[in-house]
Formats: sequence, C-alpha cells, structure tokens
Amino acid sequence: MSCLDVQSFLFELKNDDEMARRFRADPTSVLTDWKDRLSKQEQEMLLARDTPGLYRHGVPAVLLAGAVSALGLHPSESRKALKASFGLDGAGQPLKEQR
Amino acid sequence: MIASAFGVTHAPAILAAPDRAGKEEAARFYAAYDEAAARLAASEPDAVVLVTAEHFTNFFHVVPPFHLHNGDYAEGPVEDDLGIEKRRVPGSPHLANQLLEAAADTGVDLSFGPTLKLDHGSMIPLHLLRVNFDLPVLTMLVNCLVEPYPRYERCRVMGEALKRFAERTEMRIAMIAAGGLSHWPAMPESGRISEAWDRAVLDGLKNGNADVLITPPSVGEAEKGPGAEELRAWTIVGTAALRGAADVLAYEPISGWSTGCAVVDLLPIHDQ
Repeated sequence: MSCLDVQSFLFELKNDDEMARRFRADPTSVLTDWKDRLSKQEQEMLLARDTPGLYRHGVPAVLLAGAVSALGLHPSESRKALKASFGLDGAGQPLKEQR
Repeated sequence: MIASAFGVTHAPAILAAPDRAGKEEAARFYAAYDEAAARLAASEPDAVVLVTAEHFTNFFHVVPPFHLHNGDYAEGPVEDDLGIEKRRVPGSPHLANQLLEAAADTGVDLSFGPTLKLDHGSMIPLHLLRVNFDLPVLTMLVNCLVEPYPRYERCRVMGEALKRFAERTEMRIAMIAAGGLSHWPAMPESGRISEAWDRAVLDGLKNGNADVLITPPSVGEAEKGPGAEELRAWTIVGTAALRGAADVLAYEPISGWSTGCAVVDLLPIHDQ
C-alpha cells in the first residue's frame, strides 16, 4: 500500500465515468474493490472526500483537482477547503487572523 | 510553412470562473485573445499544431516527455465547467506522421497514439482562438507535470523538428503554444504569481530573444511556481516560429485565475 495506489485510484476515477458514478452513489462498494491496495486511513480519506488530507498524503494537486468532480465535490469548494487547511487565502497568501 | 504562431495561457478559470478576475483586466485579456483569433484566421491556415501540457488527463502510469496525437479525432473538453460544448476535434494521421518523420530526422523521438482526451489545456486555446474545426489539429503534449521534465534544450530540438515539418509541407500551419506563465496549479498557494518572472520572459520575447525560452530568467524564480514549467510548450513553438520581436498582445497577472495570463503573437505579420 502506498500513495501511488491512491493516485492510481484517483486517475481511474477521473477517467472512468461509470466508476465515478458508482463512487458518488455508493463509495464503499467501489472502495471494496480496492481494499487490498488502499490502507484503512486512505479509504477513510476518500470516503470523507478529505482533499487536504489526500494532498498532504502526497497526491499531486493537479491529479486531485481533476478528480474532485468525480469524487462528488464542487471544484471551487474543494479549492477553498484546501487553501483554508493550509491557512492561505484565495491569492495564496496567509490568512489574516480573525479578531 | 508557418502561417502564424501564438503563445497563450490556458488556466481553467479563464472560462470556468470569469468573475474571479477584475472586469477590466479580464476584458483586456479576452480582447487580446480576440485579436489573436483574428490574426490566426487571417493567416489562412490549412492545419493547426497545438503544443500543450499534460494534466494527468491521458497519462499517469506512463509519462512520455513528448506525445503526438495521430488519430482521426480527439475529444474534449473532459471538464464539465468550462462552458465549452464537448466535441470531436479532427486530427490528421497523415499529417501527424509527417511530423513524426520530421522529428525522427531531427534526432528527437516522441510517443504517439490515435486516441487522446483534450482538457482545458487544449480546449481553452482552441475555443478562444476560434480555431476552425474543419481544419485538422495536431496536438502535442509535453510533460511539464512530473519530474524529471524534458530539458529546455530538448524542447528546443523538438522545436527544430516542428520547424522542419513546417518547411517540408506545402500546407500553411498555424502553431499554438499553450501553458504558463507563473502559477501554482491547484495547489494551496494558487493565486501567487511571479510578475517579475513573467515580465522577464515576455520582455525577452518582445526583444526577439529566443534564448529566454531555452534558459528561463532567474528573476522572480522562487515565486514562479511549478506551473511555470509549462513554458516548455512555448520553447517548442517559439523555436520553430520566432524570427524577431514577438508582439505581446496582453499580460495580466490575474490572481483570481491563479496565473500570469498572456497572449503573444510569436510571428507578427511584419516578420512573415
């Protein structure tokens, strides 16, 4: 099990419309097919659509961005979540502290 | 012969999120694309060569440094949010094989194949440059995404191959380089732009200095982001087409689109 398998999963997901449809409808069943290749933690991140976690795990940002729709996320919401997770604003600059 | 040549930016947000740019900067950028579209049409091309970056749309398990589509058609865009209707874009196996032969004769090899998916990196330039889809489009992908990248010198040689192809054919070829400039694609840092690096590249082109595409500037390098590696597409087309000063039709550092946005005529009419 390695991040490479997560990347393989996401590459297949973004390029296979039927797999993406199945994942959005019943992600657990799709991940069952990959249970030997993905760790429990990796499966949980995919189930939770935890894109910041997947990015920190080593998934390339461009691959992740291409797969967010297949995961069932809105691209702009995913973008915001990733940035917020790193404390950065829309311009990629550190968020100002909220008073 | 080369009928026309352009270097353009292809960030998805250009079409997917127009409101993330300021109205005036967006208007100037779209107007530049319109001007380039008019110049491309006026050059009366018989075929188009598009050199662009791969984004894990076609390749993951194998990553070719250079890849040429040689099928009857490619399909795109793969994205749903660009506002571009999904369609088939005609290719030309015959013409593509002529380009492959020219590359082999130049001493550079590239992978090739008859199927290709087109993403924003191809479809935004084709759409905004209003490419006539009665013409065949030869799409070449460059690996600007997974290290090790092809070296700029190798991209220069690929440009020489493209030039040789254009010289051999009777057809009028329009060339498009799509990618860059500075950006942090889809990363938490996206929105950062190295205006200094972008302007150094564009100033070099304005001065007719093709070397800026072989040895990119060091100024502003730390902030240019990994997306700037897509300059390789410009290196290939620029090597084939640049004969003097390029005409920078627009440069807008649009943070909301996450990219230093440029439209450049690499072969202005006075140089043809």
